[in-house]
Amino acid sequence: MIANSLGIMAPILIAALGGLISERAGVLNISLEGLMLTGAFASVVVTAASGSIVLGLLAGVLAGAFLAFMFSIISIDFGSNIFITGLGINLLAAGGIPFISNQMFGTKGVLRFADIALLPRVVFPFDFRIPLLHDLLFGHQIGVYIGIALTALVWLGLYRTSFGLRIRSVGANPEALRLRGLSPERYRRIAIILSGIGAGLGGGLLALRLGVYLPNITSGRGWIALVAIFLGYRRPVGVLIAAFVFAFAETVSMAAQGIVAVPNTVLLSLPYILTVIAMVVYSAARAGGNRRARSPR
Amino acid sequence: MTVNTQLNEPPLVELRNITKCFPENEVWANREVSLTIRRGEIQALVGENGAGKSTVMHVLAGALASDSGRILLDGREVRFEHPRDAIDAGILMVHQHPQFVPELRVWENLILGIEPRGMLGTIDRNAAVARITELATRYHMPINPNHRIEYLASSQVHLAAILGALLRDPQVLILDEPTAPCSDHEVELLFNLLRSLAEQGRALILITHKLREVFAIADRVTVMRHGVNVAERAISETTIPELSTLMVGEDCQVDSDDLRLLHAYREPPASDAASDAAAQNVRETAPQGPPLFSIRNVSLYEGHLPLLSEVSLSVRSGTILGITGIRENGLEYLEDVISGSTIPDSGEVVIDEKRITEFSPRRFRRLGIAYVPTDRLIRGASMDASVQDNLILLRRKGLQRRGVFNRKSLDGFSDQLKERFGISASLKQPLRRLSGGNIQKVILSRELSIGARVVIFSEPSWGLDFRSKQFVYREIRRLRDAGTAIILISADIDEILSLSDEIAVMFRGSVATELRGSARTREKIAEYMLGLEQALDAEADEVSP
Repeated sequence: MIANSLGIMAPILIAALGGLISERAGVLNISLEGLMLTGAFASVVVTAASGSIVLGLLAGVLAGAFLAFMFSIISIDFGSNIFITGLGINLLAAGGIPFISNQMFGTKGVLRFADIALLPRVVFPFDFRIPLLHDLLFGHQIGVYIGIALTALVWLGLYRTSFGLRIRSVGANPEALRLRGLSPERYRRIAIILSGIGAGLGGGLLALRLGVYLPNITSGRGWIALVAIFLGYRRPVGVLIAAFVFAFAETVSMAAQGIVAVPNTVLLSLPYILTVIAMVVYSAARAGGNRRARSPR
Repeated sequence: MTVNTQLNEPPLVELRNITKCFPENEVWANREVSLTIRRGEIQALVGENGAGKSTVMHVLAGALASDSGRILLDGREVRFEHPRDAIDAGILMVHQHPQFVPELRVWENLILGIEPRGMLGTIDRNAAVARITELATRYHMPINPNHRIEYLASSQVHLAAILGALLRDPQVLILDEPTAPCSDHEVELLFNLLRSLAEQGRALILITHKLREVFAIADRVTVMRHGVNVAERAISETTIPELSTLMVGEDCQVDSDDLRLLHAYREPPASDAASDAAAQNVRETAPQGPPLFSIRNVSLYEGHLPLLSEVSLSVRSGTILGITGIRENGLEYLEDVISGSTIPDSGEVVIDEKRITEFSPRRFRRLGIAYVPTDRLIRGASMDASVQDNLILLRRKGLQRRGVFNRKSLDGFSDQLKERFGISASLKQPLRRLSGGNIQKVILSRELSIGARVVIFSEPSWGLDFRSKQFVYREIRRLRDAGTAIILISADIDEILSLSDEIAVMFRGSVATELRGSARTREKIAEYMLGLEQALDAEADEVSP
């Protein structure tokens, strides 16, 4: 069950880490869902065409980065509202992918390729047999390891490099950067593109686990990733935990189908309900904290 | 103090004919301002609020683009389009409100943009902290690089910002009101620092309106008024009275069109150009009786720092109490208290002999205290809503039937206000489209529509053109004559003189003096505003044992 949860967690986590960077730079990227979907489509198509998982994932990353770059041009250079822009990117992905799919393959539906390469499971040259720990550490798909490595990398980048310092500063006070001779727009743009890379990679890993592209394959995972950013207190490790909690809830709800006498639809909505509850608890806790902080002088 | 030994070299920086207009306020912030900045000199830039001191320095620091004018660096023309250009040229400005990231630590804020790199491209934190500690120790600045900016006192924030500028090794360092939040001890630290920087051959520019500081530290002083460079003096060749006269201007020498018109408008016309503005305001029947609205012994603190100390003021029906002073002397806090948006730490606010216990703008309005804020475009109005929506914001009773607005009574009410106040705009127009004066009229008429007995105006003519100003002044006088108690908060001495029956001058969080009748003169106000009166008193005390 843990292993399953980790597999579900990986794409959400990676998309959320990208979104975390742009959120810290002061741009809440609500187009993660659309970017993930685009990444998933591009990955499946290129993997099928080239036979290479690496090229496929790279295509997902590039597709996400390109769309995010468009996002940055529209929001930063043309000064459009970031929420409207993000919404536009989501709609573009939702409408554009079936269109391209139809042009290329004559269908707007499921894309299944006969001998498509699947994500490999990672085989370590060493192993040990402590029951629980073994299941936790070994035998996962590569996405799980990528996700955890990226968590560490994003942490390092945000908190230990000058780039991260500038990203965190531009989100809190862009004028502080400008008056020190730095360009707030530049750092925001890079952060947005990084969020596109994260979402594109996450989408690619999501689709290549199955080896097919399904319409709406992300089914709200981009939105969940967005929530995970805030549930994780806008910190990489927090995002990791939040993404895992959601994935675990989804695993439980799938396992419980057929066992518990609760309608499937209710069970399947468990992760989303959990997300809403977590969000409410989080906001309440935060509001409480703020009230204490603002004690009278 | 340093001696300038490099007379033969071209000056380090020359500003020539810098002109900057802010069209939205219809104000010339700078008109043909020229300045010369020399190595090893501390130059003070003095003037009243809004004289254009900060604007011209923002232009030099690349934070603001001028409309015209040239900047010469070592005799060569340069263009600064971005703060980066100025920083690269060695020109740094410490702003009046330094821009920091509050939740980050001091060292992170200071090295932002010039981060020392260590292993694998990470920030070399130890090097950064060591560098800052070394500088702080050298100049005796009590700054701990590991503290978060948000927990620093405002004076420390300023010192930290100066350290941040020093890390970048500036040739020209501009300080905008650096001493405003500082204690005497910190001012001394700062001045020692400035002297040693000047001795190193750097050029320093100190924007201030504290003349005593100018004499304590500067080599030269430039006076600005209404966006124009009106005088430049070596410090040894001028005196405090001369500078204060240059700063506030004299009635007979005012060269600003606005002011000339303003004076012409005064009713009854001044008998003599040089005569007291106050004279025309003394009325035969100045109302007597108990005060309608007063504050008693009001104090407000930020930590241990007093923002307001023991302020007592009162205003009677049918009179105008003018409150003036220079920014950072407590005026804005006083305004927050009397409008109900800040609860004072001690003291009381009283209306009709009854103490007000609940502090909120809403409660104050219910009690008949209307407030017209300075930043009316931000706090006072909804710019995208229509004129009508803005007018009815405070009024629901009588305009609604069963909780729904009744169109007929709405239109009737707004038409009535529109006519009474001469608002020349359609009721359906969004407020944003109106001229500044018309926006002011809309807000004014709304505030007055609640039948206020006390009206607080903060800088009522701020950003208004002459005709709108006229209207506002007329309206204020009309209100007074109708028996309203009026509190006028303004840093504009002309405005205060032409309207007020009584004048209170704030200095360092307390009432420096209250002037009535013929004591209301420009010179007296200026002396108390600048704290000169206290200084003279204190010196007198020291001399006579």
